[in-house]
Amino acid sequence: MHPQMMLLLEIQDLRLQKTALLEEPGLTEVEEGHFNIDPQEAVAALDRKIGELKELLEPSIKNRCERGLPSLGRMVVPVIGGVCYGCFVSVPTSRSGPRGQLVETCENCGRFLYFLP
Amino acid sequence: MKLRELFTPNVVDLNIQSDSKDDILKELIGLLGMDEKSEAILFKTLKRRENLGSTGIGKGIAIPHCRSLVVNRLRLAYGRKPTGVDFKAIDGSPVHNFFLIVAPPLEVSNQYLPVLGKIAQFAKDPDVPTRLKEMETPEEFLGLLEEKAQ
Repeated sequence: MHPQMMLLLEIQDLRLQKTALLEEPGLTEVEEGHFNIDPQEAVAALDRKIGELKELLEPSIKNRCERGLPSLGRMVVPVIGGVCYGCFVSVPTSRSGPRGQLVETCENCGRFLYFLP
Repeated sequence: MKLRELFTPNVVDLNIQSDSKDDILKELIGLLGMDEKSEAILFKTLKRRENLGSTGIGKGIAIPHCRSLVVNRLRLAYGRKPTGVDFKAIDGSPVHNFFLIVAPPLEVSNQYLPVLGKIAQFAKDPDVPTRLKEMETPEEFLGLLEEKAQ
């Protein structure tokens, strides 16, 4: 897997934690009640880490993320069963597996693709 | 869905070998049988979740959990460290029992939160820590889930 894709996945996972804390009904209560988490502090810490990691992205990839994120929501999506899970359009079979040295994007929606093994 | 239905014997390890928080997380992740890169990403995500606050909820139990792109369905694992390890738990006690929960970003049946709640509830049953300590086989663990958790 391309190192930049690893970084994109890390960033996306942190965004997921943040979104879950902010928007997933009931999760905040569970995190506060069972795990003593302060959701506001947690979101701020996640934002800081996301900011740090974004600085490690290559400029072209970072720009693509920043341009696409407001409209696309998630910039990194899995490919499952040959389908992009961002736009649910089939990914050409010639690109149906990870090519290792490339950061793959969906030809239809432009999101970065992560091929689940 | 009942908790019992989400576990199989091969994701249960009653004799975790690691002695540090990080290594225990890696050992738990190893039970899921993923590829190396996915394991590495999942470890980082779980570690960052731990940095927000320990998932050690007290009474010797921790529930490391997160959502991650590297899984395509809800995945659970259980590990037991008989001698216990410092996991920075809420009550400061060593942790002996680890329940790992990893969910994809989107789930059709949206089980992540209910499962997290059920395991937290299961762990709070006063009888459970002793029963977990006495188990000798993964099947006994599954039996305990069947008996105690809905």
